[in-house]
Formats: sequence, structure tokens, C-alpha cells
Amino acid sequence: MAVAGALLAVLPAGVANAAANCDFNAGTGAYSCSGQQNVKLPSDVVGARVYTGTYYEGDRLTIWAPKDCPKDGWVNHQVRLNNTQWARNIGSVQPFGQCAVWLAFDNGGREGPYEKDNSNVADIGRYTVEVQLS
Amino acid sequence: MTFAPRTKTLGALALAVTAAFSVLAAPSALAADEPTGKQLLEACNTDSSATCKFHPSGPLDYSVGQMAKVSHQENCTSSPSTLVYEHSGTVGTKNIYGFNFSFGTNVSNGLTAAIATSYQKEWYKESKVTSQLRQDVGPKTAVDIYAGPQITRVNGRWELLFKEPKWGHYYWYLDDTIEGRTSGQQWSFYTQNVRTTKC
Repeated sequence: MAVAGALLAVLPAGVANAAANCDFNAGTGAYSCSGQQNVKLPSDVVGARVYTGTYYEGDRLTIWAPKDCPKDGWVNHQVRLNNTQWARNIGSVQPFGQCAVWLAFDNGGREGPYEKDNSNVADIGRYTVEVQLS
Repeated sequence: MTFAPRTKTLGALALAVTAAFSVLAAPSALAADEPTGKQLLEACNTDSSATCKFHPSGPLDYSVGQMAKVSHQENCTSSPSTLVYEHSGTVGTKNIYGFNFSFGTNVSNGLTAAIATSYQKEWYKESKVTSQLRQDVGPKTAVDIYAGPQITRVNGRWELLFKEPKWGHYYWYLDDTIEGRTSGQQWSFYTQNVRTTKC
């Protein structure tokens, strides 16, 4: 399989006062905290949701993808959290669209795969700087 | 904690080639030609190849449902007596779309799995629950007994995946609020002293 260089999807910095529900498109890089209509294309699917709080509370980030995860053994999307409210601050995760969620750290390690909703990943989430979908 | 090695990464360019189709169906914003939430859930329920996954949002919300008068008891003796009253009843599961949750099907399985996974609770089937009330009733006194089910409410989003497109899409998302009973919940009671009619 040809690897055309990993294209990291990067969240913009400086959104400390963002609304509680934000959307990020892993295919286009579009990001908005004022409605999914600003981010998703008609054919996009949800890949995952992560929350700052446990039990799916707090600020929510919905990650959209062009299609569901093909389960081909590859990491299909990498979302750098930069200095958003989710960086080192994920309390719960929900994989969607046949995806598994990995929580990656800045030392190169990662935890996962989360194949099912997990209402409390706070012990790992406090080190997480990147969300990966596979 | 287990750490997997960082694996191969696929360039995002390759991802744009194939498009799966999906649309978000907000309950309040359905166009005339789009299915209702009930239709979508029924379609998922009756299609054995479909996946009906529920993703909760927030903690479970516990409360007591509608209280209703279930009995009237009178102590016509001249001394206090302890009233022992048993109330039985079933509490079903309902949601904002009026979907009929029959347990052991795709949709209800998706719900019970989600509640077990996220909250380590059992979402009860429609089984009968019996609770007992014990209360002292004074001489020549009558009481009305009211009972209401202890219920659990959960918010969340359905993720419905069809092998063949339904209403033009493989994926449908549906926000929902579901109400029913989880493990440990029974009936709540209260009593009210009223005028005797038999003493």
C-alpha cells in the first residue's frame, strides 16, 4: 500500500472559549464549534466523539470522516489536538463508523483500540495529544 | 496499560476516493421526504443485517415517573395498625419517537449493550416488579396509596448502519431520549390520609 505521507489533521489553536460542541472534519480539516453544517459534507460519517468529561459530559468533539473506517490495519485518521480543551484532557470516548479510537501521547505511545464507548478514560486522556482512528 | 507500536499511517489523500453516504437526521428538522425517527428505528430493528448502535450522552438520570392512586385502605379498628401493601406492575421502555421497544431485537439489544458498556447497569426488560409498602395507620383512619415507577432516562444518539441504503443512505444518526427501568429500580410510594368511608 502506498503511503502518500501522513497528512495530519490539525485543530486550530486558541479555541479556549469554544462552545461545548465542536466538529472537526478529518478529511478536509474544517473545524467549527457553531454547528456541524459548517464542517460536514453530505456524505461524511462520524468517526468518533471525544469528551472532556467522563460519562460523555463536558466539551464534545465530533470527528467527521469521508467514510467509515475500512478496517484495513492502518490508522486512517490522525487528529492533533494542539492546545484545544481536549488536549491532555479527554474523559470519555465513543467510536463511530466501524472505527476504533486510539489515544496517542507525545512520547510516541498510545492506548487502544477503543472499539466500544468508554465512559471513563481519564487516566489515559490526561496524556492524550492526538486521536487516531483505525 | 498496554502500548501498541505506532503503526503505519495512511495518507488522507487516499481516503477521499470512496464515499459512504450518510445524513444527520435531527428529530425536529426532518424534511417531508425523509423518514421519521420511528421509521428509521423500525427499519433497523427488522433488518437482521443492520447495526443499531446507541451512544449515550451524559450520565443516567434517575427519577420517579407519574404517580397514580393504586389503593385505598382503612383501619377501622380502635388501635393503630401496620399496613402492608404490595404493588406490582411492569414498566416499559419508551422514547421520543414512540418506537415500540420489544426486547431481544436489534434496537433494544443496541440499547442494553450501551447501558451495560457505559454504566455497568442492566436496562430491564418489560418484567413485572413488586414493591412493598409498610406504614402505620392510626385508628379509624383511611389512606390513599399512590405509586410511581422509579425510572431511568438516558440521552444519546443512535448510529444506524444498513447494508443496503435506506432512504438513500447507509448511515443514519438519530438523537434520542429513552426512558425505562434499570437494575435496582422499583416503585416509589406515598400515602395521603383521607376521610374514612367504611368505619
